[in-house]
Amino acid sequence: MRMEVQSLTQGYGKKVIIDDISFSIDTGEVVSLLGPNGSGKSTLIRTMAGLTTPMSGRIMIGDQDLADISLSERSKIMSYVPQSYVYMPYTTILDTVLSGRAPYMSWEPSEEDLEIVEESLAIMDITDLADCNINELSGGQRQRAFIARALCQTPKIFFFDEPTSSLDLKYQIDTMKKMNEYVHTRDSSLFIAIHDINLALRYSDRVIMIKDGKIYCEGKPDDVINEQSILDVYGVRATFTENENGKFIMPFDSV
Amino acid sequence: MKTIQIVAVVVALALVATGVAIIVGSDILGNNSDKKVTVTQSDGTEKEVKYQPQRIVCLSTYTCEFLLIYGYGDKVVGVSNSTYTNPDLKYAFGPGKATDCGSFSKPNISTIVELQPDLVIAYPGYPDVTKALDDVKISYVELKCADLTTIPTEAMSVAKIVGREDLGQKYVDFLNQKTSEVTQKVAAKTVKDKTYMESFSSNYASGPSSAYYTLAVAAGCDMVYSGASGTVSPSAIIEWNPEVILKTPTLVSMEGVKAKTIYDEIKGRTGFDTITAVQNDDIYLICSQLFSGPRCFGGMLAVYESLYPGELSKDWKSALDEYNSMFGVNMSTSGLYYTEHASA
Amino acid sequence: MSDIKALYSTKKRNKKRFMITAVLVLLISAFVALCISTKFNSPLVVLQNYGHAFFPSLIEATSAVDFVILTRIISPRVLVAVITGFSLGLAGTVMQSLLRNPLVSPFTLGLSSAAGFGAALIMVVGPIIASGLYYSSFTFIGEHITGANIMVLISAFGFGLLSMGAVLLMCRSKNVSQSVIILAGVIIGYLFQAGITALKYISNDSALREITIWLMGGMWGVNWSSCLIILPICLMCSIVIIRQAKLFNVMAGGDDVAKSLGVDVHKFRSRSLVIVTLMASACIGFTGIIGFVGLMAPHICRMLIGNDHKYLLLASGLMGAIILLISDTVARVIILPQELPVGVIMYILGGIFFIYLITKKRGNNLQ
Repeated sequence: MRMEVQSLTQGYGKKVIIDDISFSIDTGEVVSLLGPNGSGKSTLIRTMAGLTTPMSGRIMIGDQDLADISLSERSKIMSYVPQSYVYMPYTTILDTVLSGRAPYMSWEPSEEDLEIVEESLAIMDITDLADCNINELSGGQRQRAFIARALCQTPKIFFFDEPTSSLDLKYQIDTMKKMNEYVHTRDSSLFIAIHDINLALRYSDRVIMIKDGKIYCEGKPDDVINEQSILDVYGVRATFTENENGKFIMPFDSV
Repeated sequence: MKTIQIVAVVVALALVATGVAIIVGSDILGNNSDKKVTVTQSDGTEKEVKYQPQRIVCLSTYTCEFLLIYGYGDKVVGVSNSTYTNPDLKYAFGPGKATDCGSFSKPNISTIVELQPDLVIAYPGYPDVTKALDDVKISYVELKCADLTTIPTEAMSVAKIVGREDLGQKYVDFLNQKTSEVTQKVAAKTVKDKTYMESFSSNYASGPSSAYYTLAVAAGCDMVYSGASGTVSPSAIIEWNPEVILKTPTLVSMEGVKAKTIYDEIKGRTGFDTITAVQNDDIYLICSQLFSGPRCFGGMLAVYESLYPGELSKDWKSALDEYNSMFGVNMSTSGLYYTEHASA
Repeated sequence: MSDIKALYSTKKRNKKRFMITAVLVLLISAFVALCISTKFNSPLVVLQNYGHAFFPSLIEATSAVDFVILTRIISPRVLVAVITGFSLGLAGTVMQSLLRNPLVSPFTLGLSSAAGFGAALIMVVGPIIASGLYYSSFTFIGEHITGANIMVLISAFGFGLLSMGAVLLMCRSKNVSQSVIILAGVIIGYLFQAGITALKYISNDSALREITIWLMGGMWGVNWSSCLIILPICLMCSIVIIRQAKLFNVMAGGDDVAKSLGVDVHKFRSRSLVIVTLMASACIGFTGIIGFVGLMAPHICRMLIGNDHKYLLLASGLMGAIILLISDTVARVIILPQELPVGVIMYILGGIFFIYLITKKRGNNLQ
């Protein structure tokens, strides 16, 4: 399912945060959103996920305007993992992840619902934590639970807002690897705001770099991420190195 | 003039000035030259206060009425809110006559101080109030005149303070005459009616510490409840199955049609239709005013009459009329009693 | 069967067992409460008198007084305690879940102060402004009701709803956060509290005592007419709330996640808050302010069976009913024939139980 963002402008009150942005995401794509804090990444993701109404512009899902799609329909097409985490104590991981099936469940979960939950737990490697209370776990384990919840929604498009920030190094790579595989094999797409540029380089199909609310550049990661773009967007001097595993950035100075 | 003459004149002037100051000063302070009396307070202890004070703040409604019947009402400059708004007493102590000092339990001390009283008659049992009065160095005495058993002593104490012990004695004799008839007749009774007595809030039973209780017992009631005053369970009242129910509403809450509402409410309480008193309409509303103060004989007579109609030589209304004419006051005699019993 | 399915089944079974236990405890407590009037009757006495109520010609009552006390005083009182405890427990759970704050209760958002103000207003002003109505009386299903009762009931109920309306009005914007809602509620609460204090100050002695007793809360004045009014309201509201258990589960993840899972957050929250205010206000009108239950019942149940609202909502309701029923029964028995205010017992018993739970940590839970 192709998603098209057309001339999107969004902000709070009179303040504009994203200014006339247009791009598209195709099925099977992992698109990374790069940019410094305050550049409008979270605002963009939240608007695309249908959580706020844009000031102007529109978002097309297939050939439908997002504004015309009901909340319950949207919940089957898109899922969202926020940057900051909210949870109630004494909720188990199982219950947390199971709530991701809410768009499909009535009162009791069906066999299929539980199978999907099991699969999501396995993908995020938290099956043995299923019976634990969420308030007793580490930040990284919680984050993986919330991603598993999003997986349960079996959406066409995932929206992740910096989901790897609390994760261990191992799980950072693991999550990106698994999501990449998932998206490619199951006809969905992933739109992810990410801090770690190396992960973006390694696991994205496309990259959009955003600065001051406008798109700076977009395209394949190898093409778009270079010394100049990093300097312009982040204000950081970096060099790159390449080996059989791929291209990697090495930032060394700020301006 | 010679130096010694000047010195002599200056010394003489100084002496004269000092003498004037002493005389004038003592006139203002007044303490040393004024007479004092020792009286018995409500709790039985003695206190020395100024004789015939000219500016009194009286926080007890009942004591105010005593001052009134002793002809001393005009010396009262401040009263409690309940006195200020009392329908029977406000002609003497209400707006234009005295100043409202707030509640008897938590009066406005600044207002009292501004009135510059030379005596405050306080309600016993409120140490906050007496401590505040001590702090501002105002003389006080604790006389509430609310309980039949202590009223004779308190009446004499008030009379002593105002210098009308003759009227005090007149009152005590009158009271004894009225109450002794009841006391004698009660002593002769071998069987007494089981009585449940309620204060002005629903299900709030009066206990032995209250003036209502002591008076009811003296008037011949066999009280079903003898615990502390407080809310009792309706089931308990039903089980006691009293033969008589007494309730003591305030004067204001018995006005007009309200008395009937109170009556109906008691009859209508869930399950009360099984109680003997309710079935026989032996429910009597007697205004709380008649249980305390100089008119407490009224309550005693009213209770006795409710239990044993027609036995007294003079009914409570005539007794109140007598009181009014004897002491030159005009206390109401209607709206104080309500029942739907056939004999009333 | 896979691990997850097995886990789910086990949890489900444990939670069902908890619910059944709770229901049994409630039924037994209710029956014991019925056995206690001014003395401890045997269960046979209760059964016999109830038998007489349903089959008057076949079964004799033990005595007229016992019959009246049991069927017209104790029974409605027990039922009202159960309904009120249930409603407050349920309302507390809903508020804590919707506002994601463990310290809120049905009364945090100003509900109790507003209702108390409504009641106090009538008690002070009613006799003066509408004395005809205030002092009138009616009969309703054989029970005597005064105009004052009805006026206090409607006023407390109305002001309770008003407080919620005011809070929601202050938070009209769709972007408002939970902390703002809670703050608005606290402020409204303080305003009405000031109103109550002012009314107490200007009231005469008898009105003052009435206000104080009403504010302390208690069930001694209830009869079948009270039940007839609050039962349908609370039953309907409870059903509406419990049916939406899934949505409450989803709200636990935050407003954004809830919206992405298909919940119209603002509408759902406003609607649910109004419904629980309705329930709580209906009960307050008859029982006065009963604290503790709405705050603690959800906490206790969450510790014992977790945050799945399919079970938590009903469990908190049952727990609230049990706590209030037992407290009321003890309060009316411990210093017979006098009665203690129910709050005194509830805070002690409930507090001890809660401390026990906390110190045992996870010991007793079925998670």
